[in-house]
Amino acid sequence: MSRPHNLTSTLVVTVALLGLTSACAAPQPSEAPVSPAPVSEPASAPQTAPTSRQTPMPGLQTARPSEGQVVLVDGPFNDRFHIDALAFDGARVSGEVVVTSDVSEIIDLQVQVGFHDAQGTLIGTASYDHHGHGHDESDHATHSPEDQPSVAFEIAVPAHLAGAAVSASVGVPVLVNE
Amino acid sequence: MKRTKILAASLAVGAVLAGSVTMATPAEAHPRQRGVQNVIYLLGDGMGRTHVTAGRERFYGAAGRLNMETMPVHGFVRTYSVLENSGQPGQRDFKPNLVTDSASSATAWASGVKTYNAALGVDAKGNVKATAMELAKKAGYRTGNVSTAEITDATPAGQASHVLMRGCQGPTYSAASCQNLDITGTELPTNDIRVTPVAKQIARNGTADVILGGGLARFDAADEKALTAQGYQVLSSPTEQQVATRADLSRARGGKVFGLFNRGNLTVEKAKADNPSAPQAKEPTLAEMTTKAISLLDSSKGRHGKGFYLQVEGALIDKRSHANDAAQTLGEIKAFDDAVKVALDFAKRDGNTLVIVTADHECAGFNIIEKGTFTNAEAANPPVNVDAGNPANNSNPSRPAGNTKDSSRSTGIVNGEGANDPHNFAPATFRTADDPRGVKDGTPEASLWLTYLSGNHTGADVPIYAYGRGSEQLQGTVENTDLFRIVTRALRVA
Repeated sequence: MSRPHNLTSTLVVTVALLGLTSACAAPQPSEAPVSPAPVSEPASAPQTAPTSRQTPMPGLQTARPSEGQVVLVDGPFNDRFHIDALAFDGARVSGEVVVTSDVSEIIDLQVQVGFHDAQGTLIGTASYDHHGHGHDESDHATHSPEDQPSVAFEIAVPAHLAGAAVSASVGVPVLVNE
Repeated sequence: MKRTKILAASLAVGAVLAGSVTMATPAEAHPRQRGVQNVIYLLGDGMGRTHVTAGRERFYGAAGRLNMETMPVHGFVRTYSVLENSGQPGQRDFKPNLVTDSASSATAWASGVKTYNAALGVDAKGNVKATAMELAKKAGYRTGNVSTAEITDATPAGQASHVLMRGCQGPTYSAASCQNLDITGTELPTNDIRVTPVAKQIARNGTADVILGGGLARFDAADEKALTAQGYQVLSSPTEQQVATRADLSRARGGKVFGLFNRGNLTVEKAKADNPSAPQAKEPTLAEMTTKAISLLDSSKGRHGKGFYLQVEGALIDKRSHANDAAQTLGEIKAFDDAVKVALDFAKRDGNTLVIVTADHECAGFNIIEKGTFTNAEAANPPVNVDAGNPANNSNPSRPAGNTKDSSRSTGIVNGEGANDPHNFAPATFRTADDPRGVKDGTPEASLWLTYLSGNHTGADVPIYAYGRGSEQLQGTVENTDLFRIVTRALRVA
């Protein structure tokens, strides 16, 4: 009675470019300790926390795909999904992330793509975010067909990398299931 | 308007850091309250009334009782949440949402406020709210957080973190999973606690002394360094992504222990029983984790001889209900109830412990149907709705005929002859403690016929059971937010 795994999300695609500078030398989050927990009522006080900057996955920086190739890099959740029909046609990277671990709903998923030049060097990145339920139900009155355990993605080569990007690497740094 | 909110929040930070916010001491707040030494709060995620009934009939028979049902106080909990930017009940801008998720529900009992689905440790307008575990820790109690889910999942995270979106779990921040512009208007700076991944918070805030569960993949080397610096005995290395085992847990000593036994959620008990040589079989049961947590927390009293506050979650009841797997659901109910027995036995010996057993919401419309019958999901059409004897009772549209089984939707008992059809809506059947010895699961002869309405949460009230001083407040029906008040007053930290 489990749900089929081959339905495709049609939620709005968000493609965001990550900084090229960070692609070359990804700064690590600072390690300032989190301040003591809030203790008053009302304790409406956001506290100082480690800076949690979004950075490209390390695997995108170390990957050296050959021309025309697209490769999946290591990430924290590689044992929870596989990617069907992963492809790079020179203009875009596409595929379908099929989540295989304890799925009733995909709450958050991010696919990061690195674009590489003819030497295999990372020259830019982009990402795709799926943001499903686990959110205010007023936006989603019913659980719709979008909330299936696979998400198709398509990420175009940014205009400024057109021609220079000849291969790609792919990773999944964010994956949260219900 | 939204920028003003952010500015106000920033000012509040400064006020707290500067020590200019006056806080009443617990003794001043409730001078006449008689408290308890310890509180053990056990939560069966997704465990509705029928889950309890089915578990009882399966394992103890129709006239038997689960351990939780032996507790003297029985009641129900209302579980509704609210929409984003809603006020609290009774306020003019109150906007209820009748079906909660685990995050909103966790915030209700952990922080005493109704909030929107997906929010943790913040109210529906995004204000950070203190949790019962934080208050207990601050007051000198020892604290523990145990779950069969990832420890960054909603229920355990509700006591130990504050995020606008439950998907902000880590190890990586992303704006899409952490920010909520419907609440804040503009993106918060990434050093704001409300957009800091839960794993980063848990690894650094020291809210729970004992942390046991799953979710090692959410933590990284920097988190391990932070944990070690605080004195945690780290049983499972985030750096090496090496999970801990039951044997590691048994050897754990000391005041602060961090042990995660799977990179994701822990493994269902049925799978461990079916595959005793699998690596997952080395994971401890919820009862074993509860036993160890109590031992660690009770053996070294908190400051001023105070006791402990322990939260224990049986998370896989919900997750396997979402999956509509009745065999696994039943197994997880039993595993959870075994943990309840551990807590209850301790409380009876100790004499100064309040034990609360409840759920956050019902999951999947779990139901017991009469042996030999079928559900609407299996039917070609709904039931007859005409009353020939008194047409005034008829319904529209009229169905003078109906209630027939659709053989394409119902291809045999789902854990029996229909087991190979993934589109089969037929019930699963199980023998009970009352059935004759030869009756087997998955056969028409088994007396417990179980079905699911859907793969989603429902809005039903959930049961609550309690034992110990103060438990009488839970008789009848309470709001889930009342649980925060009852627990914090019992510990005299309100």
